[in-house]
Amino acid sequence: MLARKWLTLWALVLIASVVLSACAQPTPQVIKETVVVTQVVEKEGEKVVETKIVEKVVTPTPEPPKEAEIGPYRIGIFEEPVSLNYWNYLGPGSSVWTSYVLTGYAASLFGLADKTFAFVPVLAKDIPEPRKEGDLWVIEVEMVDNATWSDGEPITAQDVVFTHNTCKDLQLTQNWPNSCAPLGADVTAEAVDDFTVRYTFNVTPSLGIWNAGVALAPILPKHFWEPVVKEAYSYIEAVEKPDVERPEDCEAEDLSDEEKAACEAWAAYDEAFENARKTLYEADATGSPVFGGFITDKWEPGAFVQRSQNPNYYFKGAEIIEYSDGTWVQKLPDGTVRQYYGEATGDVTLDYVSGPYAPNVILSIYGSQDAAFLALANGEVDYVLNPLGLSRGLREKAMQGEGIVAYDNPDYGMFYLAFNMRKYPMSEYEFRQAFDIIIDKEFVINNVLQGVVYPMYSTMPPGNGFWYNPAVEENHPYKGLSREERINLAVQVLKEAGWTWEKEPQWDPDASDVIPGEGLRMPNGELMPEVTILGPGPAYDPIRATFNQWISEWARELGMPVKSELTGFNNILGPVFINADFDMYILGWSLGNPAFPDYYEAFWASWNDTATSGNYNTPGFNNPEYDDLVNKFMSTTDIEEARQLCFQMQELLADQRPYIPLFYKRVTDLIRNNIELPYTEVLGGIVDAAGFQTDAKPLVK
Amino acid sequence: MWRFLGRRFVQMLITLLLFQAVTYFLIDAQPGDIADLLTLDPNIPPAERERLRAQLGLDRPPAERFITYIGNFYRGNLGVSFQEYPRPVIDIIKERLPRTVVLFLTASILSFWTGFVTGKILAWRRGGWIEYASTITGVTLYTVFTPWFALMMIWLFAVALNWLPAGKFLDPLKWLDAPISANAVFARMIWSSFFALVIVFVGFWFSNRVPRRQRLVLRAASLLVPLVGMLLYWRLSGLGFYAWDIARHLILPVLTVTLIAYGGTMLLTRTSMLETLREDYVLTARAKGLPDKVVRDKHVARNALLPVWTGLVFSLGNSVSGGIITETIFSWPGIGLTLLNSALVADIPVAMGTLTVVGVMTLISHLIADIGYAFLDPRIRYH
Repeated sequence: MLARKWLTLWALVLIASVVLSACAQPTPQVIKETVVVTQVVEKEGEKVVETKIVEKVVTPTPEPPKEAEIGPYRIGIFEEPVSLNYWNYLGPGSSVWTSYVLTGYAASLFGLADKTFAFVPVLAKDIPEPRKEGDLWVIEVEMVDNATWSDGEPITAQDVVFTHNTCKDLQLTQNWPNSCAPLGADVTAEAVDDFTVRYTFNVTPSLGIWNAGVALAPILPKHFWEPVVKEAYSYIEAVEKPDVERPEDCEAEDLSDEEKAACEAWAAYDEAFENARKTLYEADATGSPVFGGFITDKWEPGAFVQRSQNPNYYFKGAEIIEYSDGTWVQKLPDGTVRQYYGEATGDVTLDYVSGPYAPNVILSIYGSQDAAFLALANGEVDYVLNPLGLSRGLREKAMQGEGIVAYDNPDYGMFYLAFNMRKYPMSEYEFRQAFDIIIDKEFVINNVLQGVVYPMYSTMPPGNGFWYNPAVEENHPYKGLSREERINLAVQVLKEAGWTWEKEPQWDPDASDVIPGEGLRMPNGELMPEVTILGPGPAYDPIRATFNQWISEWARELGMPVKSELTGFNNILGPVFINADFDMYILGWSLGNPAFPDYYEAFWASWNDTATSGNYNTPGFNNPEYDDLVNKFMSTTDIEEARQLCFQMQELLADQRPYIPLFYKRVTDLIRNNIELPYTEVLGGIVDAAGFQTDAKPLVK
Repeated sequence: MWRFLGRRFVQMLITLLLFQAVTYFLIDAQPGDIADLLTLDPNIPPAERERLRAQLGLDRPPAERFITYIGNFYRGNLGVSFQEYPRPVIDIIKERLPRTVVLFLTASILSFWTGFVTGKILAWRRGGWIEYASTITGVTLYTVFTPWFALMMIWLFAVALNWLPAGKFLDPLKWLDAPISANAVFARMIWSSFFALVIVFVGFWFSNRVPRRQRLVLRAASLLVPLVGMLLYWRLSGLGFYAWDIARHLILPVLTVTLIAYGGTMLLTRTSMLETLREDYVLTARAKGLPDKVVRDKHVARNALLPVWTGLVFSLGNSVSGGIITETIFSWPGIGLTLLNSALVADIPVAMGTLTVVGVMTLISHLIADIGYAFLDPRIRYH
């Protein structure tokens, strides 16, 4: 018993000593040096030179500052990439996570400037002009002749034509058609010589077809992919396109023999192409050469993706300069200077030398957003790629980490209220106008949401300065109105349009509140039916849910029986994007390529009505004036004309209100301060900066 | 026994089929489908959405799809993932199932062993402060909110003390020049641990059949031989560094799951022991003058083991699905995380594949429990 007590005591003392020694401050190291000292001493009145050996405490001289060492760039992501096969990435395996690990993989002839998103050459020597040859349009692109893939093979016109033809011949899916057949255009590519590509178009190569489509198309290495593509072609070589029309419904029971035969022929044709595409999408991309700054060379599923420096990156050491007058200058290491869009007279807004700098980029895969930001705070990663937005709590938690800095940038997106204009009373101009009047965006954003988003008035986010029409917001008639003014104006607008109440809504000055209206009748004399605003619930997006509830409440004050229906995102998809059977809804769009906003056609052109075409004009907006503008916009080759047309479209949409823009978000990037980035102010956040991996310098501290 | 097994096998097949039918139609009943989600982009024409739906078979009626699925399933084809098209589901399961099994099997066995031993001792020595403290700890661990507890464990061991990694499967920086993949190292870890455990088990089993003097030597040898063998194997293979990295990452999630499961096992054992202690045969055994240890371990504990055994076996079956929270918080890329992600995006083949694994594991664990009863309690016989 005594022994046990002693043992316990001994164990406690041992633990305590371990804890104390672990917690103790390290004693500063004292360096003693044995030195020979010569000194003059006075001995018996005489001065004598004496030599002594003494121990001397020396202060270590600080080492001269070394050139900053650059370490691996550690990035956190919280979902796996789908595949490392680039064909698959732009096809069925398209995912934002894959884009992070394959960024810079493919080459292209043209690209977009860093901050201005201007159209600039990449592998093209210059920006060519289209010319007409008979009924066809031709663009001939001369390529640089000294660019190589990461394995040292030259990038030639053969690669360009190979990628274009594969996309076209195998009828590649999802995002591919925009590269080889944008807007349904018939585009052929041929190699005139090793470094010249000739494109032929059956329609005008407008900005949407050329600048935002074929010119930006990815180029993949022919020498690596040719065997796979050959195998894929073997499925379709023997298959001919059926010379009968595709029957509408092959599942119908009362098909004639001819229809059955046609169905079978088309099924065989589709299957052959499906097998061909599957061959390509399934192919192993291990060892594939790349164009960009990093080679994705290892993927440990569930753990990380490793990228290593490309020793042959064409733009390594290139200097990029942008000026406030819009000039873009690129100075290549071989002495070539390319300058566009100005005379370089303004202030320098951007100046950096292209990398890659980091020896590796490590993309660590975490199980959730929380886990990834915890790793950032804990020093495991330098940056978290976060397409889901950042809650205030998570931001604060991550900011507790050492050396974390936050960069806020406007997002290139739009959150909006949409009306189903096919249905009465949403089809009434004054009904939509009344909603525009009563929605006090500033109140919801500043008083309720504490400024986490920004109010939006135009259908173009202000962050895209080139296309944004500031007049829409400046001239917005209802901006800054008080609650009383809003309710009075909305009542007036509705009354003038023939709406009546049994009991009209009133502003109560004593209570500073609205006395809600009752018995609202529409201009056709009928009582207004209950209408629903569909929207995501607070768990999915609390901001949209809050807007939904406030808008419904304000509409109810007007006497409108409006119900806010907060539901799962999947529940909104069907009624809005498939059946076009809804009253109103609140959703958001990420707006894609900021260089050419072709969404003005997709979202509001009458021929894209969801109900008739299955496309994305969900409100069913049908306005000939707008159609005319959008037609011109999509077919022009003149960027300045396109800009003016875009301005007009913004004004028309602000007046007609198929959508009422509500807000745009800001993107918050949290990044460790040892990462030097060439610039941090960019539309869409750091991740939308072209060189967020290639041009970053992860300094070892 | 064989007749019983045969009958149970048929029952299991029918149950599995019903389970698959219910889960398939429930997942399919979610509004919207993956084709809508994958093609929600204005640059993708609606024809493409229809083509994708046809390619994935989503244009056919649910019943027809289910019959096709089941037909393929029982021919060994689990289909391809919608989200990671065209990756076969079986590849995804093969990659992630071992990680989940290792995490939860280790935690279940550890929690069972520690919980059983402490529960047994606590029931035997009632009334002391250790019993009160242990009971409070047990109840706390049993009722604790798992996500909170897991985050606290991370905060304590990874952030405040910085002893263990915060999560994940491995440290990427250590694997930059790894000669083989993490999965290959992990597979070797599983096999080497399995062989080591077999040696330990066989050694201990034999040690009960040899004279008392040799018993200790044999037991020590059966612990030392696999331990030294493992060390040698990892040292000589040159992969020990990588295996240790994975093992280090395994400690915190295993510790967390073990602690959570420990409370339940300990409390259950204690209660079961207390009930058994009141039996007449225990009084008889004591009256016969048998040593306390024999009465506790052979007369009481063995009879108290049945409900604990049931708990253990069922927890093994449920661990595959029950790990969703743990795997998410610790970024442990196992089957639970896969199930969650696939269910959220209506990736029906992957969700069905993982749920079927859960179903099969549960059914097998029930069968093991039944067989185990016969071994643990001689009164139980199956006809």
